[in-house]
Amino acid sequence: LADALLVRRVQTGDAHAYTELVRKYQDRVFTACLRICGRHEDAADLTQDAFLKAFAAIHEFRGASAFYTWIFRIAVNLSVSHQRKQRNRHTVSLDGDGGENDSGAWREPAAADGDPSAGLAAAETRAQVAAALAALDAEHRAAVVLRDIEGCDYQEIADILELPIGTVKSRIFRGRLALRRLLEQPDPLTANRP
Amino acid sequence: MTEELHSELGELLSAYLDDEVTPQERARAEELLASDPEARALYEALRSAASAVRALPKDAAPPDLLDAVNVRLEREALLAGADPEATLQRHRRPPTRGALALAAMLAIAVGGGIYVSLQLGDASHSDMQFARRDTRSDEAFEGVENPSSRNQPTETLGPRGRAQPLADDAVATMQKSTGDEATGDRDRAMRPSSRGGGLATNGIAADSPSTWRAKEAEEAADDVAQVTVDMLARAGIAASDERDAFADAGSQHDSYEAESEGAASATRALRGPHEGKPKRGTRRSGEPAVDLLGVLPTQTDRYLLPYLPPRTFEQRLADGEDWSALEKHPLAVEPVQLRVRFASASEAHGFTDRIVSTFAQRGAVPVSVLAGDAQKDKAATARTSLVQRAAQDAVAPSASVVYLEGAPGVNFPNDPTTNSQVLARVPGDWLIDLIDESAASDPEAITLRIGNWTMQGAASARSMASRAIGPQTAELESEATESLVESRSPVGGFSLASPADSNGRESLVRESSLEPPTDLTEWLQWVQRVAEPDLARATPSDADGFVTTAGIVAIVDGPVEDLPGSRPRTAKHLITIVIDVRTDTSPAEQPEPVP
Repeated sequence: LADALLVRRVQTGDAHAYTELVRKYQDRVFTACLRICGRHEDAADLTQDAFLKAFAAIHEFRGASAFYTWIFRIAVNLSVSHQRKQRNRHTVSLDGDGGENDSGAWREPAAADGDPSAGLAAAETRAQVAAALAALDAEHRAAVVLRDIEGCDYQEIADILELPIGTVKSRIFRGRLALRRLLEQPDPLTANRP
Repeated sequence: MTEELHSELGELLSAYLDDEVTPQERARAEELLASDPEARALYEALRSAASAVRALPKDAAPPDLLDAVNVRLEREALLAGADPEATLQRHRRPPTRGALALAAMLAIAVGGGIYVSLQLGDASHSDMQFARRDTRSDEAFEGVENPSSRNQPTETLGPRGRAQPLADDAVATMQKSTGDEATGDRDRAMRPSSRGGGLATNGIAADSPSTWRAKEAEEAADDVAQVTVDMLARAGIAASDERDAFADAGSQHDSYEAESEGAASATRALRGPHEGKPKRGTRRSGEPAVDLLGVLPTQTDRYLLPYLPPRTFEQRLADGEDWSALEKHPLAVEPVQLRVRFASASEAHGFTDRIVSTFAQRGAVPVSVLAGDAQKDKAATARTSLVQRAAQDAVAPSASVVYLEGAPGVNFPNDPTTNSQVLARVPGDWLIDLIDESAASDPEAITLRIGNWTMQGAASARSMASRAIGPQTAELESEATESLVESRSPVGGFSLASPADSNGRESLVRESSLEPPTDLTEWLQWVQRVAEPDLARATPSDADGFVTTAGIVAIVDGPVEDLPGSRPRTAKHLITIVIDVRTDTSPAEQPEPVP
């Protein structure tokens, strides 16, 4: 069913319809949360929180934007806020301890039918990219994640982040540039953050 | 390259990489890349970074995430079960505002108009049983059933505990719109009453004028709470004895009074032994717990089923009413317009909020919006009136109520002030509720028009509506019939002179011969198929006088024929309601002349 219909059904008391919405978007929301917060467990919690928050406020959802834009806005805001708090506590993990590489969903095994070292190298590269991404400023990271992972266009990102498109454009550029510089470091996992 | 220039070029190249540039920007980017090695290096760095991120795997959510969300929702519901109002505050309000996705974008609305097209006045008896009937609506119906009572002082109850008196001489204020406008009984406006209520409340002790404003917020929440309590009562979520009482009410279709009392007792039981609303955060002794968990998983099915109209057209016929006369009654097709004004946008918003909420709670389920945006899609304004068709024909075999939604500017393509509308096909007696609810804003500003008749003021409007939907329509009919042929609804698209000739009728009837849809998705697809020919035919030149909205429907389990008290399939005792909210901030409008 269309999102608008599902939302309308939720608004009229149909909790099942909300389950459908959760099922439909949980993977995307989780991925976005994970890429922003960098920790599998936190991402799962943030995803839950986002859907619960959306449910609690569903009566305020008036359909001016798509549901996925709305849920992404909630999730991204939660994730960015969470990340700021984490950063303030200096507990951001870039060394894999409790991070995404600890997650079964995040880690990929070496290729079974290929060179085991190639699979390992690919996994290491991904870990480096993920670590560099996690080292970005939260606002830049959110913009990059929405663009390059979620595939949102600039207008959607502007809607989700509630920013002018010009700012979105700037954040994506600066995020990519910072990411590139981090990846050029000998070891981005230990590189200084921008 | 300066940093500023670097940033400017970088943003350009980054946007170019994403194909988010204008033609001019594209040309500039390509020129740069062709001529500037530094720009190429920067572009390559950006592309590389983007590729690296895009290569990251897209993770699946943990398999238990959905369950975890559900568990937390249920836990919240459980916690709120100790305080049903709190639950409503958090989760059960949805129908109120949410269903407004269309009409409620009307946040900026200050002036509001409600157009009610009365398809046929069969609502003098109870089509539904609502607990609230034990107060206000009973009076309304008594006024209809017993002509001698019409001139007795009665009260019309507004929302949030406010109440306005119903003028005892309301009938006398009815005047022809072509003549002088009735002024209503302004002196009695907003006088406090001993009772409160409204669409969402019932039997609530009134506050004094000096205190009700202070309690407005709380009462608004209570209104919402009461809606759901009533809904739950109708859904049978009550203690066993009360459920029995409710079941009795649902099965005894020979007596409206008995049904009303049965439903009322069920709701009273939910409220507790005392009349009046429970305070938030407290539960009275004897008040049964509301099993919110029990209703959550099966909400969709259960909240629709209670809508089993105990009085039907056939019963009216059995009572001696003449079907053919009813079919020909001008009020069957005559437009009814109810215009309401609000002092503020929030009031207007709250009004439509409550209306839509209550409709939804009663089973008028908002389902679909097929309309386009008139500003973006000219053809949208040219589509054949699905509203008209739906209102006249498109009650699905398994549907009891059609709820239609419009999109901003579509149904009133020539009215730039229109923001949005809600259209609903609902039992005729809801018109009374609409008037009562409207009276909460400015009872003097209410104008009800049926044909050439105009009533000014809530009391007059209520009286007129009671008569219009009741059997005492002969006097109206005798004077209104003549004007019928030339009448056009204030709602663009309702070509009322020849409803049977609407463009969509044939195709709809043809489609109706198909196997009836059995679920919501099917039904939605079915209607969309029906709409196709109209969409294909539409041309901008057709814009005038057509409406572009379709929607649907409350689905009931099983054939209608199997349901006790089911209504005729024609469902002509329903009215089509169009709620229109505008951004009109001008001073009080004078009623427009009826064409």
